[in-house]
Amino acid sequence: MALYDGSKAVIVLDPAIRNWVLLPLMAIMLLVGLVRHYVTLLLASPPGTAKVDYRDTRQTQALMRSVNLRRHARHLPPDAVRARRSYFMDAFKAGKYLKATPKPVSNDDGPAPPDMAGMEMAMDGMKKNMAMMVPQALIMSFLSAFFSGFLLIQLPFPLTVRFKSMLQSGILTPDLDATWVSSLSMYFISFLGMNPVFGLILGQGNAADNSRDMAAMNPLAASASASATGATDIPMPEIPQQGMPMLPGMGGADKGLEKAFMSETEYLQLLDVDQVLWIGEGIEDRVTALLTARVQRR
Amino acid sequence: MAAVAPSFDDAVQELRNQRSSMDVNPYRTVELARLVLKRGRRLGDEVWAVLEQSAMALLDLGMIEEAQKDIDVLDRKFAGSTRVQKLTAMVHEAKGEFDQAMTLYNQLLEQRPADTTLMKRKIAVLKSQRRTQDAIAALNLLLDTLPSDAEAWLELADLYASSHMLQPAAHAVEEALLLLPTNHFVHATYADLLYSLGRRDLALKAYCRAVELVPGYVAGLYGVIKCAREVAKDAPATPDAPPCESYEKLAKVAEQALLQAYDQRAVVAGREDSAAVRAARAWLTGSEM
Repeated sequence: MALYDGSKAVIVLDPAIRNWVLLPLMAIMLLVGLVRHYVTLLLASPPGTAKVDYRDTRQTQALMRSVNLRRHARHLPPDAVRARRSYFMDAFKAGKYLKATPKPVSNDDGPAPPDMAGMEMAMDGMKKNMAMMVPQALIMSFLSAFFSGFLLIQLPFPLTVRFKSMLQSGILTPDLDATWVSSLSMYFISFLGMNPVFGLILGQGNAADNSRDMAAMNPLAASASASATGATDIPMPEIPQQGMPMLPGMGGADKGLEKAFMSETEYLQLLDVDQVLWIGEGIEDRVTALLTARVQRR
Repeated sequence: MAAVAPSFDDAVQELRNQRSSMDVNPYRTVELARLVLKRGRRLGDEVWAVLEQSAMALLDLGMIEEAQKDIDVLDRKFAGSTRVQKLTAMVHEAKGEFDQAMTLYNQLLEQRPADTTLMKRKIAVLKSQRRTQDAIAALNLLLDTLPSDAEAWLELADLYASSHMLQPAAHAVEEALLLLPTNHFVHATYADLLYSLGRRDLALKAYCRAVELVPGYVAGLYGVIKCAREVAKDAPATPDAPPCESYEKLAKVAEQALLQAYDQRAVVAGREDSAAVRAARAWLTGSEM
């Protein structure tokens, strides 16, 4: 086999690379994923025992109820909408749904008293994130220590030059074919693609899924996908998200909700019930036409 | 109805769907579960969920001993689990031992304070004990914290209506309507309440909406006809209300739609109309009985 074939050098990889780098790398990734899944299961507390403060739920739910009213106002008779609108505006202004926070003696924003339920939720979230992040970091450092500057495999399909930066992260050569992949890049790409493999082994909804990590690392992507599915046709107040690890001093969340209630009150004020196109308006004619067409079709 | 029994995999899938949807058809569930549990080993870990489903369906049908057998199997596997104990409490309910059921639910709620299914079962016990006012109070408390549960609002409306408190019932259905605005059944329920409250014009609109969503909805069509006929006879509410003719036209075309539906059913059934259908036709064509 000629080592130099016309224009390009033919590269032959040492089979030892395959035995000692590629296969162990794949094996490690698989095993780490499995371990992550089982560790998460062990660390998770049984559902339903989490001490959820009902006052937290009540706050957020009241807010969602008002948002829902604005979203679906056209399905109720105007009087009903008017009654609810004024009820919510009065209730929110009076802080009826707010959790009663004990006000500190001084008026400035001192650290709020530690919120037990919130702390537990934050700890839970942090535990989960630890389980995800730590193995990743370890493997990355392991790889860069032992396996840097390697070519690992050649991809069987042709690729353009642009893929070089993605696939050959440790190796800076100007004319190496983009189909050769370095070890670090191999790790990244496999990491991104391991979900279906874990799905086959562990079943759906497994804890080795890294799509949730991606959401945690990239809240912009998460919110983009969330808003794509939900309706964003009406203005929504900013609701501070629960479930992200928050520092002690969760009084910040309560302040956020107070603001949310205030902005919701403003949105309610802006809701002009007379302008809402009630579905009941002219519905008799619409249904007459609908039924006439239906009767004539048969 | 299919005469052929479903295959094992189809049955498992259908049971899965039933678990996630709120559709409750206990006869079907029991039939499928019996089929599936004969070869329980093939299910692996899913067998426990199917056992739970089967136990609940059997209790729905009053087949308490058989439900108890399923629960015993679950108890052997998951000793002391609150989820299994919930099933035991449901057995107490089915047997009419309401005090024991209530005590057990209260115990379980101490261990799992955030479990809404337990709270709802407590309300069900109160309902069985005919303590309607207590059930209403408990349900109101639940809905104060979790107002996004349409099923609970509809249950509250039902409780209010059975106590002849029609205005609060209508209010509750409105909440359910905000949560499920495209559900024809909720609109029809709303219309029924409005009619009982005397607001026939609004009831007509609500029935119309139910029919607009599902044009073949028979209950909605009957509602439209009844209300349209009556509103046509009343004096117009406001000067710019639609004239009587439009209501009469609506009633007429709805009658035609229903008569057509009956005709089609008669063709399919291939036999003469029953007395009930004859009475319905007479009412529809206006030959008053």
